[in-house]
Parts: sequence; C-alpha cells; structure tokens
Amino acid sequence: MLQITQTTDGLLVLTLTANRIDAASAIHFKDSFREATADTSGRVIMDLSAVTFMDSSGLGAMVAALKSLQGKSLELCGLTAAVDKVFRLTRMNKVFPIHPTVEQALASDGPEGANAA
Amino acid sequence: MSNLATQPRSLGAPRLHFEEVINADPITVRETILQIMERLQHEFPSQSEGVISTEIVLAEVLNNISEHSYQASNLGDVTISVLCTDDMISIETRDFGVPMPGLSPPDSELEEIPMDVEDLPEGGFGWFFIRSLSSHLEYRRTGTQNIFCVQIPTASAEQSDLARANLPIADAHFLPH
Repeated sequence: MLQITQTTDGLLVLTLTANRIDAASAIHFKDSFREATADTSGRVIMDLSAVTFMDSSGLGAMVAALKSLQGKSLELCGLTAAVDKVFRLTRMNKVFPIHPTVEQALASDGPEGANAA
Repeated sequence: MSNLATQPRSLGAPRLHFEEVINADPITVRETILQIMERLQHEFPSQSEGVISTEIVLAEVLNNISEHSYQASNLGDVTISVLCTDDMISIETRDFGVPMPGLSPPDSELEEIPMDVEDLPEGGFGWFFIRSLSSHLEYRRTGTQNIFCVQIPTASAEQSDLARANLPIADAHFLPH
C-alpha cells in the first residue's frame, strides 16, 4: 500500500503502491500513512503516480492523512488524470502542494515551490 | 475541418447496452467498476474526460448504495444498466435497500475551503461529484425498489469543468478542440 522510498534528515518520500484509493482501501491507506509518518519531523512527499483512481472516500482519506501531520503540509506528486480531476473539482489542489514528479518536488525548496502550473 | 465533423451523428442511437447484477460490497463494487470501465474505454477511446467522469460517478453511486441504501451490511443486490450513445453514457441502478431521505437525492454544494486544515471536510464529496459531472439525474422509489438514473456527457466535460471553476469566459478560447 505505502512504500517508504527515501528518508534523509527531515525528508520522507512515500510511494503509494495501490492503484485505487476507494471505499475498499481508504481505511487501510489512513492506517498505513499514520504508521509511516509516525516519527517524521520534516517534509512529507507522497508519489501518487501509481494511483489510477480515487473516489470521495479516497479523497477524504487524503485529507485525514494531511490532518494527521498536525500542521505540516503533505506534498503530492504524479497525479494521474482521474486523481487530478477529483482534486481540481473539490479545489483540494489549493490545499495540498502538488508537484509534477518526485524529482521536481525534491528539487524545489518545499511546499512553496509547488502548484506552479 | 475534417470530414468527420460534418457527418451527421446518430443522436440517441444506442451503441452499447449491458446490464450486471452484483452484490453491494466494496470489493465487488471495485471489481465491477473495473470491468465496466474496460468496456467503456474500449468503446470511447478518444473521450477520456467523459470516461473518467463516468468512473467517478459510477463509484459514488455504487458507494452510496453500499453504504446508505444497504447500510454497509455488505448484503444486497444492485442491478447496473449501462447505455451509451455517441454523446452520453447513461447509468441506471436498481436496489432494494432503504429509500433516500426525503425521497430525493441530496443537494450538494462545495463549501468554501476553510482556513484551518483541521476544519477541512473528510467526506461529503460524493454527491458533489455526481451532480457536477452529470448532465441529468433522476431518482424514484417504486414499491421496495430504489431506481436511480444518471447521464454523463462523453465529450465537452472539459468545457463544463471550466465553466464550473468560474473561469473568465475569455479562457474558453484556449480550449482544445
């Protein structure tokens, strides 16, 4: 479900390996996310490029994940067309910093460098 | 201008029609959506916006039946009929769960995004997606049966997305044709 692909000082890169974040997987995602980020103190970047579909339950789980970071931002990368659509429709693309790729997220200074498009 | 654009389109003529009966639990719902989407992607290879919208609407309609109509019991049949014309994907669902409150589909408007992350909504997007991605919806209760119909345009979804985002009209000139 969630793979920790890189940890350096103050930086956590997570890769969502599930293809669908929906009613069947949202709770599992929330639990995995809390576990993966329990000890983190720096930036959290999550790669969604494997996620081909997200419904309202999945979007709600993303918001819950963001809240669990207690004030820190959750930077997202690699939104596929369907995921991008649910973020844009609900204007959640204004809430989460969004980068095209993990590489571009890492090259940016932080959440402020996102949403440039 | 291409020849295709000048040919009359067979408005309203069905080009694909099928029906499935499934159990309303989240895993079966997911598998069914995947199967239906495979057929729709094959049928509408160049209308990805309409097909993506259909996947979102279909998921929300089936989630609602599973969670509300059958009250997350994971038990109960849903009949799903899909009817496609060149311009429209129509979905009809029939189930035997509890009726919709007030016998009508809930209204749904997007709230202003709150300043505080803690106040962000973690749900309630479902009906907003159904209403904003469809051009027509209808619900009726017949005896012990819920019948819900929703239509999603296959094309021009991008245009309506932009319209909903309240973008200035001038931006419409930059739409891909």
